Amino acid sequence: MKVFWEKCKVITICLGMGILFSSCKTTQEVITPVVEENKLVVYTSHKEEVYEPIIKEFEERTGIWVELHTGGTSELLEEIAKGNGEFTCDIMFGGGIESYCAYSDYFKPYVCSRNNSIKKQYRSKDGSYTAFTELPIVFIYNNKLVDSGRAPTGWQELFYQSWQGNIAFGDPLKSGSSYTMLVTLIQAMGMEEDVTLKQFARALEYKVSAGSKEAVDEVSSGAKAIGLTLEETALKAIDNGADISIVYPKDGTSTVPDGCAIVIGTKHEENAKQFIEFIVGDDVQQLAVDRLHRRSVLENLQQTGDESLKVLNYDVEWAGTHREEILKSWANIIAEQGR
Amino acid sequence: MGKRVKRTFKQELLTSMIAVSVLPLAVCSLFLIQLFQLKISKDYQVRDMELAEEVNSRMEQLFSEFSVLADEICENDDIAEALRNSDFTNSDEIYRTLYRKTKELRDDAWFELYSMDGICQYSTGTGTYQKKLEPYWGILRKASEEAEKFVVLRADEPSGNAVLQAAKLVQDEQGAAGFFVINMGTSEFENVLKGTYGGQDGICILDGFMETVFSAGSTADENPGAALRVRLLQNEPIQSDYNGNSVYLDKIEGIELYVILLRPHIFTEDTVNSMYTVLFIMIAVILILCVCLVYNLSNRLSRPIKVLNQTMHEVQMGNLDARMQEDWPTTEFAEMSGNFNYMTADLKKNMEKEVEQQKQLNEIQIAMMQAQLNPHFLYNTLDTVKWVAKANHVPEIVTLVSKLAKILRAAISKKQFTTLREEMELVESYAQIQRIRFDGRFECICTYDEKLADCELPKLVIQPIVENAVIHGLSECEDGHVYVDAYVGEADDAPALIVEVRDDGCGIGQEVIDRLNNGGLQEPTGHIGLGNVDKIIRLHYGEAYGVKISKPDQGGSLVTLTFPLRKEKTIDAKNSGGR
Repeated sequence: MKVFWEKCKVITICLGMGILFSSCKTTQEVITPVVEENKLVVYTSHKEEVYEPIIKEFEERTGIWVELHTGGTSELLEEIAKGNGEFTCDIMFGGGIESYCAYSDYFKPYVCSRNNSIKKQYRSKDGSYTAFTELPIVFIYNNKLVDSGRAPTGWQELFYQSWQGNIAFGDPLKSGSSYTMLVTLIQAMGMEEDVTLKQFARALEYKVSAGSKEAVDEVSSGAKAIGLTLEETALKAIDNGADISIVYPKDGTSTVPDGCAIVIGTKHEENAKQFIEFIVGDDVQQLAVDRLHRRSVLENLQQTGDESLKVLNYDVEWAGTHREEILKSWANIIAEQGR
Repeated sequence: MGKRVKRTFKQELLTSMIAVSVLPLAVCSLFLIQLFQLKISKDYQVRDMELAEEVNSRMEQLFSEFSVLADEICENDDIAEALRNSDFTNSDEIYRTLYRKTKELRDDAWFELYSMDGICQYSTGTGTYQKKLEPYWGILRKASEEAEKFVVLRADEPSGNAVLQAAKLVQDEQGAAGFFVINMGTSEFENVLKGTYGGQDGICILDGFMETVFSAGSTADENPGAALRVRLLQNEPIQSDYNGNSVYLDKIEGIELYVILLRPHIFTEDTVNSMYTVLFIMIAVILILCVCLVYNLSNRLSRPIKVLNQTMHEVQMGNLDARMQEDWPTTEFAEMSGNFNYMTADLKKNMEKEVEQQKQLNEIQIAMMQAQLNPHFLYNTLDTVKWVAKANHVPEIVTLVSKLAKILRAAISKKQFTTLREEMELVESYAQIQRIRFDGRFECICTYDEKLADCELPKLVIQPIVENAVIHGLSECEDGHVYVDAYVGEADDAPALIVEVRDDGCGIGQEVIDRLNNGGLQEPTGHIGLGNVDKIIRLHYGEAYGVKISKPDQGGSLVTLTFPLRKEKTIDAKNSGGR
């Protein structure tokens, strides 16, 4: 009798479970799951218009599925540092190489097969990063407000009384490229950083734009007469119809490239290497020139921009190591005078 | 079977009620809800599949037509020639060919011809002339790498409005000359898929890497492809719900595209929850109903049983007048109560009858015993003998007959009770007769306190004892004594009249003593008189009184009679009662 009841219970429970779970359906997989060997986790600080075609083409050509995480350069690098090599990130793509120098401990050295084709000054000494494209800093001016003959031609001219309060410049505390511009200015002016910072702040009348793109917008809209920005941003704005012109400083400018590096502890090292090879390949470099308004890091690639570009000997390491200090004194100057 | 906890009737009833009402309801409802859900979702799945099939077939159809068109265009030597020479003069001819061949398909796509360096030379679309596509990149690269194939790729930014591109390399015997590119924009997709999806559904076409190519319907502004891509990369189930929509994924054969159908759940959590809420309310109502019903029913059933139990207990305790109420609402209980009452009444009647019978029997017995000593005629005769003897001067006969007559009178008397004095006189009369008979060989000494003279006792109870003592105890003796003493003793915790008859004769057999003392008086023995006396006393006064025989140490025998201590008044009252 007892056994009978036990059986009854079991059958009831089974029935109940059957009813409850009968709604859970199983579907055959239409698409095969992505295997681990076919994945690559990419952290990028590039804008979508930059990374999108590159990632798409990379996937298309290699069949590797890219998992993308976007964010600001320092934010992503900080995340990688926090993971201490155990993080799931495979590769960091985008951001100036001076940032890479500061975080070189977290990158796995890799010298790409085309290293010798890359311009000498952009080759990493320890191989921890690979340069992607060079980004010259340029002056821009509003064609309506500034006569081409009157436009500034060198760094010194920025301090002229006539431009005071009329220069668009992104906030270096927020924008990495603006910091590069600041350091370029310091280096162009002969390394008297405190004097230069104070003079420049006065020339800006202690007002900065939100970012380098906003700086271009200000010039294009006529709010400011001249501005400092990256050649890429300026060319894109011109392409989109902005009535501005570019001036390459006659005393030279910095062309700090952005980079790409394999993160220590990568789980997909082979794929990461493939990615590096891909971005320094002719096609991507050509695309950077043709579509992205960037300059290739390769020696022998046809450039579209002004060939007369004079390159300043920019000390990347100095820029990296003095970053905190310079930004601090800049912030102080702006804060004091802004009162 | 396992040990069972004893439960009350109410609990048993409640359990059974719940088992037959709530359980089937709950199980049936759950089953129904699940079945309903299953059925609906299955129906919709079938619909999804049909829809996907429709989308699939339209796309396949379209792309096979595209493929045929591409083959025709790419094999056209004029076109190859025109693409190779940028300063080709007969461009209107090329356009005519292009328009003629694409006539049927121009609503579904626009068509372009690119030179090898990626400059758009001919286009059926607007504003794309002289547009540049990188020949080393994207669709053109794929087309030139897979020269003989018709390739399909999601379009990227410089392709303008196009979201999907298909291309084939234009070749002639001189080699590659350019590209034939088919472009589909969002409106072209809408045109192709018109009527396949409803306003509530979302339809989405993804490329091989799960990137959204085209999205329409409810998901037009969303990007479900990205979500599915994340799922795929995280190894999560692809087809699980997206934004409360069920997801159906299907592959479009031939071209590396997927179609996703998103449909809002018919059974949202809300619907299912409200269904379950209704179910729970129903169960609760039924439960309350059950409890009320059980309470009512068990009261109706258990109260009669309780009353019956109580009444039975009362009857058990000896109250035969206990009765149950009979107006129960349930027929069975009414019948049962009636039967019980009838039974109790019957029992009472039987008991009374039995008591009455016993009484009658006792009276008859007494009457019979007395009748044994009641020959009327003998008395009259003895009177005559006495007068004759007196006339003839025989004093012994006179004494003998007068004493005998006295005894007989007492025997004939209707009175059942007498006083101690009268009984003692009777004993003395008897002793005198027997002394004459036995030639003075014994003496009878009667002693009693005068205060006890009026004490009540049944008549003729001492005489048979003395007779016994004389006949059996002293029969062998030459000089025997019989002592009759009356005094106040105790019996049944009350003062009692004790009469002792002692003789110093040969005594009495131990066996007879035992039998008498153990109440074995009913059997006829040699001492029949003794037994009768004991019986009479007990019948009158109860078991505490009666006759006891013992053998004193000094020899002979001792018979002790015990009566309750009562005065004559009560005797009169009793005797006048007619008994």
